[in-house]
Amino acid sequence: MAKAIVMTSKDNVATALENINKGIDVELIDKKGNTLPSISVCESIPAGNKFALHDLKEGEPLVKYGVECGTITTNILQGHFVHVHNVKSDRIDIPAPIITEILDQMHYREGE
Amino acid sequence: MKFNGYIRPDGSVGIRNSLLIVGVDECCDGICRAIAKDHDNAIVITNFVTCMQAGNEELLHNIIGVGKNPNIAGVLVVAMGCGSINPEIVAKPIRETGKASLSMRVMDLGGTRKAIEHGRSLAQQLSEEAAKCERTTVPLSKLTVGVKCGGSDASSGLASNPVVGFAADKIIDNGGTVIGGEVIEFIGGEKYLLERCRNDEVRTKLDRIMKAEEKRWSIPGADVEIMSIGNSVGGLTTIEEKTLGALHKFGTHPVEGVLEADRNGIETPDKPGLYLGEVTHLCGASAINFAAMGAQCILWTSGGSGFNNAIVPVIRISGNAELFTEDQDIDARAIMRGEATSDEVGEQLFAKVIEVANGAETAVEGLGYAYCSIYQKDQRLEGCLGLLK
Repeated sequence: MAKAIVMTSKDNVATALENINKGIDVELIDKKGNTLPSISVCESIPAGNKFALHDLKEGEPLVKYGVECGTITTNILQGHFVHVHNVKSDRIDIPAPIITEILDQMHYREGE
Repeated sequence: MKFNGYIRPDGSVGIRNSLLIVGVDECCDGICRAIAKDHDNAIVITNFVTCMQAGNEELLHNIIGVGKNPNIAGVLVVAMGCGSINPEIVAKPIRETGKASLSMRVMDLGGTRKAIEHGRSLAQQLSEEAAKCERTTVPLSKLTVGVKCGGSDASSGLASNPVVGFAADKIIDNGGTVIGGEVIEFIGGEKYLLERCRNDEVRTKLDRIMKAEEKRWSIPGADVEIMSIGNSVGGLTTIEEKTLGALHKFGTHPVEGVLEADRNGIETPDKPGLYLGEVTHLCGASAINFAAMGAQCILWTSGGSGFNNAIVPVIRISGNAELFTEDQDIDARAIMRGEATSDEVGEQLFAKVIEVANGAETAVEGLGYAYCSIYQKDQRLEGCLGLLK
């Protein structure tokens, strides 16, 4: 089963440890190597990238490593890809053309 | 916990027994290298920036700090003689720690050949003195380790940085000291670092150096690259996420102090624990900053890129399966497969630190060293920005 890691129990995202295809059940592990309840991803998630552990609302913080790492800009459903298209930094934001460039380089299409 | 090191006259303890040949101006670099040629343990650092003293005090403090570093057994400082940096400016404060520290001016010695010959005899004298020093068992409170990332990628925050954080905690638990730097890369993590400060005095100082560093790198028209497209393609969404992943290498202990480097001097830790210092994020020069702050080795997390330094052994840690090579000292790839934890690999790293302190060579020790580039903040720009102290 494909694996993803949840760095702390406060986190609302998991990070893919390998490329994960859309619709696959994902084994979640924590930092100590314990297995957590699995969930399925609704979009393909490249290794090193994140998906939502539960439904996230616009305005909520992105929580990874147990700390706030930015703000969710649009509602995200469980299992969906969480990245520059639906999260902004609270410190120094990435300019819009660069966000487009990042998603193009990743060949990202919503829902795929 | 103990290790076997070389005890210096000031009570500091080296994990290597090297000679330092300092060229205080660029013109004597070749002469220094000719002097160093016959000694495997001789390291040359040259000031390529200028032969003038005014405005370069921070640079000179860095060189003096390297000379005082306990990995250095003896120092020879060479000047051409026409510049304004008297070699004794460097040699004298090092000598005052009780360490053998000599100086010479090429122009006083009747030409290049005679200067090289004279320098060789001084280096031979230092080498014979260094050879008399033998390893002695000392407590881990005598060990200071720098922690640094380079060539970060998605595996850094998940694997190699938490591994270093575990080892950093364990070094401190056993009485040792850890120094972290790269102040510009604290952006987005300021709140968490300030919360970790031991007291308000430390907190105020950290806040000041973080704001000063952001000001330095925020000049209109000269953008600072703190988040690359490659970082984001690899999975990092915000600067906060990148920074928080990087801060894992500092472990979990409180920040005991903040070490400043400026024209007035270079601060060094005064008791064990975790310190944050003005160590540049540029790898080659960071080793000089770490050495000047007293670190005897560096833990360096990377995808697969290379950085090695002759003064302070560099222990490399990587969790990147695609880029991993024999250059890495610690293999964190199993963490990325979900087959090992960062604590387990962190134990291996801690054991490696003790081995290297005892004299075991790192994976690439003696090979492919980076130049010892000496970094300083531009004093004139500091003045323009109102940051001169």
